[in-house]
Amino acid sequence: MEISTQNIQLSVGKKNILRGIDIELYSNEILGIIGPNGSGKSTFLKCVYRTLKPDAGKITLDGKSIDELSYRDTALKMAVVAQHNIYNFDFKVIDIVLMGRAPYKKLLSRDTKDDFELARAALAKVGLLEKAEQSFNTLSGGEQQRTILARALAQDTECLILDEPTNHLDIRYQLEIMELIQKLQRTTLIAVHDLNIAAKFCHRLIALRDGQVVGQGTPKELLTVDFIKELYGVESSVHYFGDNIYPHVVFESTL
Amino acid sequence: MKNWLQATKYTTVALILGIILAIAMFLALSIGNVRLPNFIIWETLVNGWNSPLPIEAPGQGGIHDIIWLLRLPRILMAALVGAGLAVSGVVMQAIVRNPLADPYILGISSGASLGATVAILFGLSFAFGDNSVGIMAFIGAFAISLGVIFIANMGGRANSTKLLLAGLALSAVCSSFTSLVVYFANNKEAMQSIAFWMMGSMAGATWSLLKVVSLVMACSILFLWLQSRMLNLMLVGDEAAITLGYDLNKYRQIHLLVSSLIVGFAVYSAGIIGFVGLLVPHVVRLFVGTGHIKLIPFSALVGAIFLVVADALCRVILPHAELPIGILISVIGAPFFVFLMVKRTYSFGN
Repeated sequence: MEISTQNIQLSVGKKNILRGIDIELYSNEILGIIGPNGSGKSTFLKCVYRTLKPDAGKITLDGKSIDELSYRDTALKMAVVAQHNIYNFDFKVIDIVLMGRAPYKKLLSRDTKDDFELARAALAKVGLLEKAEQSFNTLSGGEQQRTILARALAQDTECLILDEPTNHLDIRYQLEIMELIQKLQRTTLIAVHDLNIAAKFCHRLIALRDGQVVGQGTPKELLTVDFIKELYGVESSVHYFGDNIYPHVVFESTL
Repeated sequence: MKNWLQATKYTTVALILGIILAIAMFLALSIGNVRLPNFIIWETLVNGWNSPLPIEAPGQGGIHDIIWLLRLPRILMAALVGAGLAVSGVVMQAIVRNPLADPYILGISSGASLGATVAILFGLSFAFGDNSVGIMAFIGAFAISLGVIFIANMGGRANSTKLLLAGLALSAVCSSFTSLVVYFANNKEAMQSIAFWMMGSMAGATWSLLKVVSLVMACSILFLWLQSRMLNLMLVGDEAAITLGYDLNKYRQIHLLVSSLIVGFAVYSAGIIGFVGLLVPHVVRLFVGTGHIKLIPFSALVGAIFLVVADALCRVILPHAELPIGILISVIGAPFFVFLMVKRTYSFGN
């Protein structure tokens, strides 16, 4: 599945948050979006997964404009792991994951045995099967994040959109989640804070600053000392270890 | 296999609750100013059922009248109103995503009170007949719901916060109008009857009213039950729901209207009865969790049992007088609510 966006613009009040963003997401690639806080990463992703409507521009899924698709149509194509999943009411973990099956449901259809199996398989993939019957709000931040990822997996879509999915996770789970995403080989759009995670797991990177694309390319092409200085305003050094084709960034100081 | 076992378990519990409801209703028939032995109640019920005469036909004996005309209608009404208010509470909590919501949260009770006050003070019985108070209350309740939806949709899409704030604002306006009307009318007798009406009572139940109310309650509760999936999604929020393929905005407004239909008819037949719609959903969540597919039917059953018992107590607590049901429920409900709050294992959905 392919996603492309053309000239996506969005302003809130007088502030232009997105100032014309064009991206192409190709089948089965992992495209990382990097950029400092407030650069518009989350806002842009929200436009793509339709919880925000851009003021101008066009987003197409496999060549079809999303304005012509129903929410259900897009939910069958892309699953989302958003930031901040806080619920006022307590659900069991398995119930949250089962919600991933919602787009497949007609009004009166109940959750079937297959749905339960898919949900349990998704939980197993994120390593939370033994917590299926626990209440969501008793989980740690990282476990909650993995539950939401399991929900996205249960949605069984060609495309995954993730907004900083490794937030709150300790290093082991950061790697596990990213390895899982890598192994899934779906078309993946992912906002990442950690440049080393981005470098290791993304096929291509797009850098945003002030709501504009300021650079794109493979991690090796994009992550240079000069570019990191320009994008984040920090001094760093970039290293390649062994046979790795991806860079390692070591941060030194602010400018 | 495990799921099948669980389903059987819940069906069994639902059956047991149904039996408890039936027993409570039967026992409620026996108590009151005149205590009736069980076998006489049974006999009267069976005779009345088999009798070709209409229920209201005169000359069928005092006991027949007590059971068929006085007690049974109000017991059935208590069950219907209890079930309706409990389900409406569940739905309102989902609509505004707030565990503190109750059926009246969006200003419905203030609207109903304003309607009732106007009816009582201005004696609108010439326009609406004997039940002018109920009809005006219903109109007030429903008008407020429409107003809340209208205001929440102004300047962009409605969401749960906007609904809540619109409800608060309209509620304040209605309350002040009620006070204004009462202030200028200066009519002590009418004020007393307003106060009494606001405390709620099942005494006005009649068979013709029951026919309508049972139809409304049954259809609305069934409809909301079928909406369980949407109600679950409401609790995880609009954004997550969109990524799962559902635009909740339109569902929320439909649910709100159906829910106000329930509340409107409850108010119309029994006045304002608080706490049921707040308490019952929380109690039921303790046992069956947050999923609406179980929460709605169990809340309906527990709400019905609760009001049937409360109404029966109201009729016997004071000698030769009736305690308004709203008072009794708050007296039982508030301490129980505090108990739930203090109890560690349950944190109001959080």
